Amino acid sequence: MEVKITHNEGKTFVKLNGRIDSTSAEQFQKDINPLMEGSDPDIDIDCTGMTYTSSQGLRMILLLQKSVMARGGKLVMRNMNPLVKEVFDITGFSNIITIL
Amino acid sequence: MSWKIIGIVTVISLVAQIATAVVSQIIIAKEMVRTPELDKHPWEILHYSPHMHIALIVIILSSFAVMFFVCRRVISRMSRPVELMESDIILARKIQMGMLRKDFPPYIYALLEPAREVGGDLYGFHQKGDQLYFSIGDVSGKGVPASLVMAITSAILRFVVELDMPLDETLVRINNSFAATNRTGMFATLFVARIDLKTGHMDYCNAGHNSILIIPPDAEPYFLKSKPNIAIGMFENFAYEAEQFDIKPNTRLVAYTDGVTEAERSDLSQYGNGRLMAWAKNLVETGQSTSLQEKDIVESLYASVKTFVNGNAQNDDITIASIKLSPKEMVDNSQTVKQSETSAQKIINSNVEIMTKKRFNPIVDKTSEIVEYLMASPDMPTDEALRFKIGLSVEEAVENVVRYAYDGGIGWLEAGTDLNHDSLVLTIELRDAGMPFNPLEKPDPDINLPANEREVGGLGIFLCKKLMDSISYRYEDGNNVLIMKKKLVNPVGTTDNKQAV
Repeated sequence: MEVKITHNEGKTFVKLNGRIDSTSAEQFQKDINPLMEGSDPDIDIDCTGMTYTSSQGLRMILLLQKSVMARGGKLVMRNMNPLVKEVFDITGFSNIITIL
Repeated sequence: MSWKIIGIVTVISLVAQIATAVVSQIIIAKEMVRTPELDKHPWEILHYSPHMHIALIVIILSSFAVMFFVCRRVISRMSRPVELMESDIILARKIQMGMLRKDFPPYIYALLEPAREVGGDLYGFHQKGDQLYFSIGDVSGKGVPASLVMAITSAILRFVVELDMPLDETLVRINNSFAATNRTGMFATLFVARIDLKTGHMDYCNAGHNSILIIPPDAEPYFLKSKPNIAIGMFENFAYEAEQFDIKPNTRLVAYTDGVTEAERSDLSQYGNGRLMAWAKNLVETGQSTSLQEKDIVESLYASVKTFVNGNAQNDDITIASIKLSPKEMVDNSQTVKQSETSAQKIINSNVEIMTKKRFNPIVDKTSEIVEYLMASPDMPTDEALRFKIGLSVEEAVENVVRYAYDGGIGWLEAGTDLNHDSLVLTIELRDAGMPFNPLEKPDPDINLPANEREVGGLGIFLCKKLMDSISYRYEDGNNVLIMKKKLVNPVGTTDNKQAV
């Protein structure tokens, strides 16, 4: 999973490309670590290239949402493909994260 | 022992002599009182009394008689322990040889000749379903101490087969219990293997034992390489590593102990690996490798060793075992068990699942590999959405086993698929021998909680439940068995599978 992070006008923009599964989970966790602490807690994640996530990915996204909320920010995920979106729906994540 | 006898005999004869002297004095005194002939020498008095002669002779004879009988009893009591030990040893040998199975199925034969009445070599085999468990080993030393350890190790190995433990874990546990209580510095080399008689797949773990000789049907014999695991009983917590090897049909495995390679002849030269390899090559060259049965093969090697030592005393236990899988017992790995079916077979087969499966061992970090194997199965659909859901469910279930089933992560996982062509229901089975755990027992996460109250765990199995049509668990024969099913119907309603025409 490729994680590209940019900052613009006080917001954090993230572009995801690839899969979060058992092979890439550890690396993904390291890649999103900076997002857990940064000073721009408004995070916009472009999921166009995100093809797959396992429960490990969901877990890390949940932790990210918790930390964003604690810092008074907002997490938005956009352009999710329908298969991945279905996973977010089933697990109730669509209710706790803004998915556009 | 003989000093004791001499001592006792001396004491008894001294006592006899003193008694004789004392009694003689009393008789003389009595005689003197009765016939007071003061001028006569005491001996002369004695001389004139026939009664006294007889009395003296009787006393001396009886004291010797007493001495004789006492000595005989003492000697017999002392020698009895020796006789008892001999018959105990013979009994121990009977017990030990009785522990070695001799009811060989056609594909295996083994021979064990102890150097003394009892020995430290061992072999064992047990067939459980299609799996053959085989072990061969050599406890350091000879005689009674080695045979005790041999008996314990044999019993543990037999017990372990029932538990279906992974091989490396088996050796770790045996080694730890052995090493923890080992005060005598004894150790044992051990080779254990589990061979799938249908596929020829072998999991093995070699703990310091001689390399197995592989005799292929159409190539040079060679020694099977193995990781340098140490003999058991030396250090606690040694991390034994198991390995895998695929036995092709008609390949022979010959296992042996160093009673073979270190057999000595009178000039102190040893049989050695060189002669062993030469024997194997000769078998192949003369065509005997193809024509002979396992019993003949084993006896051939034994004869070769005996010829070499040429009458020299056997100083170590000799064990030889031979295993050969023939094609009629095996199924080629690359084929699935699906052939054109008669309608009768179809009915039977639709009820009985014939799984294509594979065992993975070890499984650490192998989640992706196992998922890839399953998703590549011809039973899997081509529809992207179905593959996504099935793939995700499979990954979550497999990851669960890889992460949590085994203590320390050492163990095996068997994964298989089956497609019922009539109902189009895909079945996926995951089997492991880890700690009994039913993943379905866990309550579902509450998906309506707000973010700050949501827990991070429990999502994996929940996803399986939601994405697959059904999921069930049972604990069977020491294994966790998880079954997931999905009907291969795509959202439009038409059926989907690769074989559909």
